Amino acid sequence: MLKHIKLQSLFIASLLIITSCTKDDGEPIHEHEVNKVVLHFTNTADSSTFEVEWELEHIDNEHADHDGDEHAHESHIELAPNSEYTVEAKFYDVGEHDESSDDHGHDHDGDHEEEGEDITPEIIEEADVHHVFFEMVGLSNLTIVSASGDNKDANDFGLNLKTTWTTSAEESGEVKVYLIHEPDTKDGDTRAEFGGEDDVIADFEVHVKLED
Amino acid sequence: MYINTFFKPLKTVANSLFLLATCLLYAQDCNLTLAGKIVSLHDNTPLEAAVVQVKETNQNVVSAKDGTFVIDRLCAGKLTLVVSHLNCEDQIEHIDLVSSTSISIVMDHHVELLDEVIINTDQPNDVAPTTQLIQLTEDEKERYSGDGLAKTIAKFSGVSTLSTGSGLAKPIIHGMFGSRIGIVYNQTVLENQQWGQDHAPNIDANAFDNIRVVKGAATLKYTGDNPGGLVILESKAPSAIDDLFGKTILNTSSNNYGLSLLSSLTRSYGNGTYIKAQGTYKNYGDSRAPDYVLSNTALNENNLSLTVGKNDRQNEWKLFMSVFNNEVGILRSSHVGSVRDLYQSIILDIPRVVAAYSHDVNAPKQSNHHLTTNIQYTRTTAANNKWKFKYSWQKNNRKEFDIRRGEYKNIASIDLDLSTHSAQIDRQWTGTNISVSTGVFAQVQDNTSNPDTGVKRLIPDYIKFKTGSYLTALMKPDRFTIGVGVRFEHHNNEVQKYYKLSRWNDQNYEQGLGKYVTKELYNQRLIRRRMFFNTVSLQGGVLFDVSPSQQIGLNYSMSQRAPDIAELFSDGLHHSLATIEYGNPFLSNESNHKFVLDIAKKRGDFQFNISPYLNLGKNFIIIEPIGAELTVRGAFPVWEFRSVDATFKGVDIDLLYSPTKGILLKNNTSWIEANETTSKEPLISIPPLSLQHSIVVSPSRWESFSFEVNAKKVFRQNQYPNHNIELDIVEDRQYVTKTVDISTPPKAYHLVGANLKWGPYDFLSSKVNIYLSVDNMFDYSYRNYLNRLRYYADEQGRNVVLQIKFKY
Repeated sequence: MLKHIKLQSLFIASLLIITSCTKDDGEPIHEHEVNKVVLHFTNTADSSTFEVEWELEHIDNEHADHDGDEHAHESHIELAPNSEYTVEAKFYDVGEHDESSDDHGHDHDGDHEEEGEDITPEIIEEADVHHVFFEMVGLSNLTIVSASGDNKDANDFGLNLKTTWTTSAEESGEVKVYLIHEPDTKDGDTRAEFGGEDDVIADFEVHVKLED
Repeated sequence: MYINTFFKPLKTVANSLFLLATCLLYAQDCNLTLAGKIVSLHDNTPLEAAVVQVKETNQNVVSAKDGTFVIDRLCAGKLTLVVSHLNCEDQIEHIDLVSSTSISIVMDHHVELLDEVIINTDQPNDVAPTTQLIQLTEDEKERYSGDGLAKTIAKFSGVSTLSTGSGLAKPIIHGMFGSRIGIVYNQTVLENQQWGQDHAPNIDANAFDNIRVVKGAATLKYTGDNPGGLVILESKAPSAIDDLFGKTILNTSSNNYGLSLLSSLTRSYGNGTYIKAQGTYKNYGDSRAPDYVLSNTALNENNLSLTVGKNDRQNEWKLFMSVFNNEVGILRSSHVGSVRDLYQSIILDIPRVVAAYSHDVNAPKQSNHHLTTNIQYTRTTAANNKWKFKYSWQKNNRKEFDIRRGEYKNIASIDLDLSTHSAQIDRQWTGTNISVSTGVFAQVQDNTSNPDTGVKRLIPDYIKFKTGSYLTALMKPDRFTIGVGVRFEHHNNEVQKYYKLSRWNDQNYEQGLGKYVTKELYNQRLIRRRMFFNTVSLQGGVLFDVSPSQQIGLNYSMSQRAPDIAELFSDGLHHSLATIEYGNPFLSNESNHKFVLDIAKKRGDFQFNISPYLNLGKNFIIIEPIGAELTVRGAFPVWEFRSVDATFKGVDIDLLYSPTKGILLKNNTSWIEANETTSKEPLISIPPLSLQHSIVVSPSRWESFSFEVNAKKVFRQNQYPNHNIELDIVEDRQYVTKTVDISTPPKAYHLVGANLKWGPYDFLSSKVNIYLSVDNMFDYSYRNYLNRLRYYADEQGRNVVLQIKFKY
C-alpha cells in the first residue's frame, strides 16, 4: 500500500518563492485629537488676566515615557480667596510639528509657539452635541457656573465655554475639564450624568490661597 | 440535521419501524396490487431507488432501475403514498384504490443536483472521511436563510458564535474562532478572518447549495492551520439536461421589522453548460431586547452571485463571481468614551442610549464590501486520474465609522483594503480502496490602510506571500477507513508599521525592532520588516465499522499556524469595543495537537454520537485584557496578544430518539473547558456548557405539516480569568476607587422556541412552503458571555419569523 502511495503521488515540495516585491512606505498618519486646553482667567474685580494651559506631552526621546500612558505637563491654577473670575476655555489640536526624519534631537521643551488648530469654533458651531463640564476634586468651596455671554445651544443651555468661578475659603484640589461629545443630557452635577464621550479630559491643579 | 457519514436519512429509520404492521383489520378485499413508475418531471427519465411508502400500512418499496415499483396485499380504500428520493423533497400522492391498478408518479427532480453521471469534485464524505461531518439539510439551510452563516451553523453541537451585538457573529468550533476556523467556499479559503474579533465572515451562505462543518483539522486539502474546524460552502453543478429552475425565499421578522429576500435562478443545458444567478437582500431595523430598543443595530445587506460552468465528464469548469455588501450598525450604547463609561454601563441595567426604533444605520457602524472571483477547471485524464486548477481573487474593503466631530464626521476611522490572489493545482488519483490527492498552491495578499482616516492604522500595510503543498491519502481496507495527510506552508510577510514613540519606548522595542527602523519621525517610528514562517501540519484518522450500526473513529492532527498580521501588529482603539488592542511582534508559530474520538451508534429508533476531544496547544495565541491605558479621552482597557500553552478538552453529544412514529426527540450537548496548561488559569471567551433539545411532531394525519418545540439551556461560564480594572472616579468631589468588572460572565439562560412548517403545496406552477417560527418565545431578558457587547445591553427578545418559500 505504501509503495503505491509513493509511486502514484506526485509530492511536490514547496516552492519557496522569495519575492523581492515590496510596498511603498505608507504615509504617516496624524491623529486628530484635542490635545491642548487653555483657560483664560479674568478677575472681575480688577480685570487682571492670566492664562493656564494644559497640553498633552509630545513624546520624543527626551521625554521617554515608560508606562505607555499619555501625560500632560502639570498645569497649576492659582486663585485668590473670596474672588470671582470669568474663565474662557479654548480647545486646540496641536499637530505633530515635524514629519521629516531629520529632526532627531530637536529641542522640544514644552514651549510650543504654535497654537495648533483651534477646535473651539467647531464646538460652537455644533453647540447641540457639545458640552464642557468642570469636575472638582477636593474643592468644596469653589463654584463654577455658566457666565453671561457664554455660547448657548438650541435649548438655551450654556456650553460652559465661558464660566464664572467663585472662590471663598482657602483650599487646594483639582479641576478636571471635560469636553463632552454627544452628551445624553446637559443637566448634571457629576460626569456620569451627562453620558456621551470625552473628547478630552484635562486635569488642572487648583490652589485657592492669599498671595504672599 | 443529520450526521452524514454514519446514517442514512432519518426517514429511513422511521419507515423501517413499523414494517410488521398489517391491514388485516379491514374486512375488505386486501389482495390488491398497486404498480407504478416514477419518472423525473423534466426529462421523463425513470428514477431509480425512490422509496414509496404507504402511510396507512407502512409498506415500503424501492423503485427499480426502470423506475417501476409494485406494492401488493393492499386493501381497497384511500391510500396515501409518500415518495421520497435522495435530495428530493418528499412527494405525497393520494389514491382511492378500488382494484389493482397501475399509476405513474412524476417527481420534481430539481433539487437533485448530485447526478451520478457527472464526476463531481467532492462526494459528500470526501472532505473528511474519517470524521463526523455535519451537514445542514436543504430544509434547515433555507429555514435559517435570514440569519448569517455563524448563527446558522450554531445549531450543531460543539458550534457556537462569538458576536459583537446582534449583527456581527463569528463561528466558534470547539472553543476556537477567527483564524483557527477555516471558511472554505467553492474550495477557496475566505480571506478576511484576520481582521479581528468584531468582524463577521463576509460571505452569503445562501449562494451555496451545501453547508458542511468539519470539527477539527481533519482535512489538509484546503488549510493546515485550522485546529478548530472548517465550514465548507459549496454548490453542485446541475444535471446536464435542458432545464430552468429556481427558488425565492421571503423572510419577515417581528423583532427588528426585518425583511430578507433571496432568489436564485439556474438555467442548465443538455450539453452540461449552466448558468446560475443568485441574490440576497436584507433590511433589518433595530433589534429589540424585551425591555428596550437596541439602538443602532439595524443592518442592510445586498449580495449577488453569478456562476457559469460546464458539467462534463472530462473537462469540467466553473466561474464564480460574487459581490457582498453590508452595512451593520453597532449598538449605540457600546460606543463609550472610556473605562468610566464602561463602568457606568456595567452597573446600570439599561443601556446608556435608548432611542426610538429606527431602520437607519448610523455611526458607529461597519461597512463591508467583498468581491470574489474564482475559476476552476477539472480535467479527468483517466477514470482514476483527475487534475484540477483553481484561481481566485478576493478583494475586501472594511470600513468602520466611529462617532466623530466636525470634518471627520463622515470619514471612517478604519479603512482597510485587502486583496488576495490564490492559485492551486490539485491532482487526485483513485485506485482500488485508495485515493490520493496532492497539490501545490501560491498566494499573494496585499493589505493597505487608507491614511486619510486621521486615525492610526489598526492593521499595518503588508504584503504576504504564501506557498505550499499538501498530500492526503484515503484507504478503505475492510471495515476501516484510514485517512492521512501532510501539508507544508511557507509564509513570507513584508510589513511596514508605524509605532507611536510612547508605545515604542514603553515596550522597549528599540532592542528587538530597532534594526528594522526605516524612518524616524518626531513621535513615530516606521519599521519595515520581512518575516518568514514555515509550518507543517499532519493529520491521521481511522474510522472503524464495529458493526453495521456502530462506528468508532479517532482523528489526530498536528497543525501549525503562523501568527496573523493582526496578532503581530494590530494597534489601535476600537471604540465599539471600548478597547485598545495591541499586537505582539515577537510571536512565533502556534501548534496544536488535537485528538477527536467519535463513537456513534444507531439502534432502531435510537441513535447517538459521542465525541470527546482534547487539544494541546503550544504557543497558543490569545488576546486578553491586561489593564487600562490613559489617553486624552480617558482610560481604556488594553487587550494584548500573547501566547500561552493551552489545553482544551470537551465533549459533544448528539442524541436522536423516536419513541413512536411521527415523533422525534433531539438533544445535543456541548461542554468544553480550556486552561493555560501550567497555571491552570481558564482562557477567556470559552463557550459555557450548553444543551439544546427539541421535539419534532409530524402527525401522519396531516402529511405536509410538522411542528417543533425547541429549548436551549446555556449555563453560566464559571471558568473565567479575572481581568478587572481599578478605576478612580469622582464622587462628591472626592476620588473613589471602583472595580470595573469586565470579567464576570452573565448568568445562565434558558430559551424556548417553536416552529411550524406547512408544505410543500402546489401554487400555480411552483411549490410553496411556509414556516412560522418563534425564537425566545417567553421574551426572556438575558446576556450572552460570548457577546463582546454584553456589558451594554441585553440580547434580542422574542422574534417571530414568517418564511414563505417558492420553488419553481
